[in-house]
Amino acid sequence: MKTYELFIGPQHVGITGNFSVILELEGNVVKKATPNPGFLHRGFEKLMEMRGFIHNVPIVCRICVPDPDPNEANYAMAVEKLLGIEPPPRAKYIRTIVLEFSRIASHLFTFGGHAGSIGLYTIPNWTISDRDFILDLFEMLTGGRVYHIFIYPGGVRRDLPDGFIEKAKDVLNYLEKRLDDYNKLYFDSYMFKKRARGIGIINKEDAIEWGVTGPNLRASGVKADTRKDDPYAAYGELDFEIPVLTGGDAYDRIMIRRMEVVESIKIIRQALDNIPDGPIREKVPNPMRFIVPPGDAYVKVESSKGEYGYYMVSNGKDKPYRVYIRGASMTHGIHILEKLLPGNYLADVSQIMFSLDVCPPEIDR
Amino acid sequence: MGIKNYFSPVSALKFLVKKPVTVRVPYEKKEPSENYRGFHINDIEKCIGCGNCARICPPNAIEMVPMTEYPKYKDMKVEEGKRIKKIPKIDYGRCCFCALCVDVCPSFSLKLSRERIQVETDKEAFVFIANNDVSYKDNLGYVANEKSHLLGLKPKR
Repeated sequence: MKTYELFIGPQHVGITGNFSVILELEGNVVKKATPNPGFLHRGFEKLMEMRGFIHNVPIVCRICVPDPDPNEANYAMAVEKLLGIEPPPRAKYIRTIVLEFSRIASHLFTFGGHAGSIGLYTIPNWTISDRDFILDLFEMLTGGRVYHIFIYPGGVRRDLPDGFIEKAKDVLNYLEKRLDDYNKLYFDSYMFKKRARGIGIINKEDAIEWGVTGPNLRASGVKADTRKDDPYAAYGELDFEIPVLTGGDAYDRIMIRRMEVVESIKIIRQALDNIPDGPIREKVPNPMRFIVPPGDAYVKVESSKGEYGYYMVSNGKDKPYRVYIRGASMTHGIHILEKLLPGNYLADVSQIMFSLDVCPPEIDR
Repeated sequence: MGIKNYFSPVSALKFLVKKPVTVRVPYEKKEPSENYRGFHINDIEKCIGCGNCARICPPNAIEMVPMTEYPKYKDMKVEEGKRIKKIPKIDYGRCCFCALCVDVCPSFSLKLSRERIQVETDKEAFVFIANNDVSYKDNLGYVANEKSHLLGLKPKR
């Protein structure tokens, strides 16, 4: 049978961002898939070498649009490691709250995308409107809805405003109630189970070999999470579980995210209840002349996509000598996608892409 | 697939009586939050012209221009041998609304407002001197406080 070539993307077919896949099809079965990134290349790593340590704070959040806070936290932690300082406890708790809300917001986006790709069009409307309540909270806390520019080396930029804790708890209660609605329409839906089960299986050995991280790895049966293994922010002091599923297919990858939302709600509730008083920022160099001592540091965090890493080299000047960013989506979007797509129907391509939760700017750093 | 599942679509009827989450924009207005980062407000009398805002600005959106460029102070007399104070002129095509300029302002004269909508046909209208004579001057948004100020200064009473 003759094969033909088909371009998917670069506009939002299975990924929230600009990313395309060139498919070779035989009938409606994929024979070969070639991911084609590069539409979102803004040269973050090079740009960061030319700017001061503080000037990079508003840049790093742009590396992942749906989930910007892990980038900010990771960058700040790398600078803190080079400076040899530790943020105050209150700042750590505020960071945890922001990071977990960001994770929920990002997962809601993924649910919407995946449900849309299998034909359940009510879910995207619901999740995006519910995500807006979280964005309202971010606006109240940081002043910005999408790019928060909030986590600063040494701590955070502002204290919690009056009434934030009550409002955050209301939003958490609302989200918890909404999960039942999502269950009825989406997670327990016969159509979702029929479409997503057994599609795009990554088994445990392959997942470890290919360097899969985050929810995608935990859906394949490996219990690994940077929040537990190498605690940062306030995660070491909070009580939470790491959900693990063993199927490794698109269904399990979505279900693990649903379980993570429940855990995130638990984490935020604890952090809001136990938040200590005190300063929000450790003493850092003057922002006009932010000189970091020479050395190198590698710091990792767990984003909603997977493990994030910043490798930063400073040569004792006011600009970083080199910043390398390990985005989790590089593995998921390029190597895994290339291996998973062949053999599947064209109709399942976008749902496999969405179940991997790829963020293209992380690939084109 | 139990018998219960056949009746579950009936539960969708509850959404008929729920209030919609969307805002009907021309009739209802969505208020930005207390510390929203919108357009700048600068108290030119209070500004000391230090240029901290221009130096910290990550996208280089701020340019320091002589005070006499602002129409209100155009005819200001400058004494012989004295320099004219410089004030920030902001290019909103570049500004990323990060509010770092607000947090390094030693005189606390630069603030952000909650104004976020500006419609103009002329692109030059988006490059202007931050001032205190705008219609949104009382609609304060992100204002530096004791905890947020990056130089560790306290606002004067």
